Amino acid sequence: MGAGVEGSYRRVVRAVLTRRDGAFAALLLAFILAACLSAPLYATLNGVDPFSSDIAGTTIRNGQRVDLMQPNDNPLHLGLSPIGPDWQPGPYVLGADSQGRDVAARVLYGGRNSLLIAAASATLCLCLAACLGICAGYFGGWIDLILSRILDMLWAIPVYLFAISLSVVTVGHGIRLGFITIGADNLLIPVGIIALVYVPYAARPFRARALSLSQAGFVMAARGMGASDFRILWREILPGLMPTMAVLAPLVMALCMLAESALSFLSLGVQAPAASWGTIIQDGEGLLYTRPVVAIAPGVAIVLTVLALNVLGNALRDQIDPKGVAR
Amino acid sequence: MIRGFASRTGQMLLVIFGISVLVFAIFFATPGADPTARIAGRGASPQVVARIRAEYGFDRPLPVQYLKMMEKLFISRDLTSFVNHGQPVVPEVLQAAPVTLSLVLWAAFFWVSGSLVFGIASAVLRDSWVDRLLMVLGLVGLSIPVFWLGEVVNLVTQSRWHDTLLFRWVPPLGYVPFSQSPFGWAKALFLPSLTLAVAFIGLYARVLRSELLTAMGEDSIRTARAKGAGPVRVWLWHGLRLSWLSYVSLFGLDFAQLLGGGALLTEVVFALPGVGRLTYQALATLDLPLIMATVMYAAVFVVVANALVDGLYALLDPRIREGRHGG
Amino acid sequence: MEAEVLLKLHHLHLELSNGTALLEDVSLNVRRGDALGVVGESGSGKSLTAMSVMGLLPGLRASGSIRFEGRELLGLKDREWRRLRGAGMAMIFQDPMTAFLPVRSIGAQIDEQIRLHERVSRREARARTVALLGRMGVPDPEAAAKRYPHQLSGGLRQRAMIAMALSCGPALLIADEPTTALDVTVQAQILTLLCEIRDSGAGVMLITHDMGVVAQTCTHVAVVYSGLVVEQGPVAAVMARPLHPYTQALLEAIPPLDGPRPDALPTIPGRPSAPDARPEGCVFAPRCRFVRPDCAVRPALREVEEGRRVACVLYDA
Repeated sequence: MGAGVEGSYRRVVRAVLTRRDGAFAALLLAFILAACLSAPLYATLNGVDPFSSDIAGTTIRNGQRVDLMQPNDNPLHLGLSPIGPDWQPGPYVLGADSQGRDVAARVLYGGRNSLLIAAASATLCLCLAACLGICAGYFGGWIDLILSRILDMLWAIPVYLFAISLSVVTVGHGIRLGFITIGADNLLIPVGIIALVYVPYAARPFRARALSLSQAGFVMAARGMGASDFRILWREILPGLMPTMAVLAPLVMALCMLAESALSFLSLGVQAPAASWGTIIQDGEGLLYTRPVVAIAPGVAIVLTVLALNVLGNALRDQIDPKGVAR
Repeated sequence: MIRGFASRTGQMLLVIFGISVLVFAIFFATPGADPTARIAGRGASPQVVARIRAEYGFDRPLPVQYLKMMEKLFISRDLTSFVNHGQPVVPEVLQAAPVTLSLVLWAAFFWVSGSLVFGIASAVLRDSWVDRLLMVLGLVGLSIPVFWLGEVVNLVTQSRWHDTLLFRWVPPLGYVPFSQSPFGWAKALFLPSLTLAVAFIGLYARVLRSELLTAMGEDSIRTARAKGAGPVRVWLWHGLRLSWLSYVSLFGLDFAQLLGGGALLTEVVFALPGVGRLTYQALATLDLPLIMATVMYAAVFVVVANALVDGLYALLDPRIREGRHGG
Repeated sequence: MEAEVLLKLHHLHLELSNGTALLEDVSLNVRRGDALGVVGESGSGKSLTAMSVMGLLPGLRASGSIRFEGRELLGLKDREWRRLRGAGMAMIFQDPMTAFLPVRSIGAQIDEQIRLHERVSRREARARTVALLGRMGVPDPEAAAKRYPHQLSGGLRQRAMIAMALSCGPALLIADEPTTALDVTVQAQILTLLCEIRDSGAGVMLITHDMGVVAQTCTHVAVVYSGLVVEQGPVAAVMARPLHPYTQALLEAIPPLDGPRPDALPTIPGRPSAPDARPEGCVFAPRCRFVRPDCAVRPALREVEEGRRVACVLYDA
């Protein structure tokens, strides 16, 4: 079976990449990823530090040295406002934020956190969901009953409220579990929270799949030959869950990315001085009417990434699971 | 019938109990800091801390603490916020509820009518450019973080193009009670609810389209056409009738989740003093009793709504009414 | 005595938008008071023939002619066709469970058909529905009308289906495998019902794969193979002396009702050719035991005896 599965994966990947939407999504994702990975390149080339405030700093515009914080050009607003975008390659291409930091560099660096958290929490979420789904679907009986009820309960708490509750108790203090301490600014905290809140969503399709697999002929046959539960789970059920995994992965990652941005927007996700697209939007809220680009740029990045993930997920579903087990 | 109702209610109560334990555990039994310090808020005096410890029984075992808390929430309803000068929490939540209800009702109106129009249009014109365009737009809608969309809407309607004919009518951010001015109420809620509805329009249009197309392949649709029914009747009366079951159940869950606090981000961005914004303000001061109260109410609300949706489902589908699925 | 021809298909040809022909050449007649059995294997195009008479095949290209009560149907506007469907001609489907909308009561669905074609009040429509159900032998028709499809037995469902089909007094009733999904005893009752309908003067077109059903119910039979009518004639004559080798093989495949059971029923070797790989000549030639060199030219359906037509080189003069 191994070779066949390998071969079919390659076929699915090829099929998705030759579809117009699949290719578009993959290219877009690759571009965003490459841009975010090359964030240090932009920062060092232009000599900007996206993490320390530089209110008294200067930059060069049209060959002249200008202050980063300019007297406000709108007479109604008093005080200083950061320099706007000039759309020319070079430092401060998207202008500066209220701390005098390069917005473009922050968006690139923030993207690394956003992508990392989304990918990590999606992975964690899918692993947890697959474990729960397998247990519930394969063993059935009271295990299934209890697990399903617990998942139903979690499902009843609105996702964002659930995430907020978990964040609010960990945000100031971190987690102390015996001798393990996770600091309040550790990225593992948002990763764990976001992964946890989407487990009920992802566990259902896994459970349904494991249930139907556990009643499939080849599993019955393996059981009849005296294979242990562990062996059946490892050799028969787990490979059978991979298509579900593949379809869910981009869709869950899209959800995780939206959740991360929302939490960060509420100052409950990534903690300063680190940035993510959500925190940058929050930074930009105060400058919304004077320098909207600070809030708009990271938002556009989120929309494009999430859109690409959703398109990719749909393309994968059309190829792998056209009848739509996992919605 | 009565037995079924009783067992439904029993199950519901069990789920509510489970959720209350869970929420309690999240807030007061997570490993980490002392819950007393959390309730007291930042920088509380030792006297206050001592009073809280005694009042909530934090020096006693967890089950006692749980019972105390539930009594304060649901029976005596005198849970007080310590950060906010001892204001009782429950009335505050109840006061904010009408705002959230208005917002979500408007949003539901937009998302149901929008998704019906778009979903039916793209199902009828399947595989045409209209269908493809609508489905791509739906995905885009799904991919936009609602808080960011809200900011962009504010930017456009409150600042950039506020003085144009199109947006001159837009009132300043905030809420106008219905009793004060029905017209002002509608005006104040129009853009926020539309913003909130965008993602749902995208999701529901996609769901409705695929359900409708599945339904149109059923034999009973062929019968309807053989009877001489016209296309409008076949699509709307027969097709929709078959496909709206999952639509309705999805709607019930989402509606309840939004009422229960899922609209938090929208309320924050548009400065609507609803339950979500209350939670948000509590976040800033880490006002744990208030946050826990909103989460608990939200979860109870969602569970009750789920039960109602199940009942509605049975009304809509005679097969479920008798406990028979499919067939 | 020659009864009026109700439905006349003449060289009906049906193809997919990519040019694959599903029906090559179907010609047949149904007269008032006749019951025509259309027999063939699954995939032979017998259901397609029925559907194209009802005009229920959007996306397929039809040519030739379908005349109903002397009126050409092909090229009819959808609106006019719709007025005909359910009123002039009606259809009964194979599985009454899936053919009814599961979420509305039987009565409401029959009322709907009546009200689609006639201006009557809800109450009048319901009265007619109840009367119809009663005439179809549904016990306690008033209560049955209020029930949902899943609450009725298969036989009652099919009776309700027939009641719905007859609700507007159609001149032609098309039944697509009406008994396949039913128990044997119920099958017989439904077939008797169809016979009564035929005797009352309507034309019946019965689509089936079962020669036995045809023998019980029909006056005429048309054998369809791979999108073509290969033999046509009165039931008694065809059953007694089948002409086309395919018809012969079909009849041999029915187990005898009495006498010793044969060790093995004769089967027809091979399988029907797919629509996109049909032979140039006679479509049955690849499976025919009498195949000859001149089978490479497709034989036309020609009248060989009074009322009997066959498409086979064996009967060329």
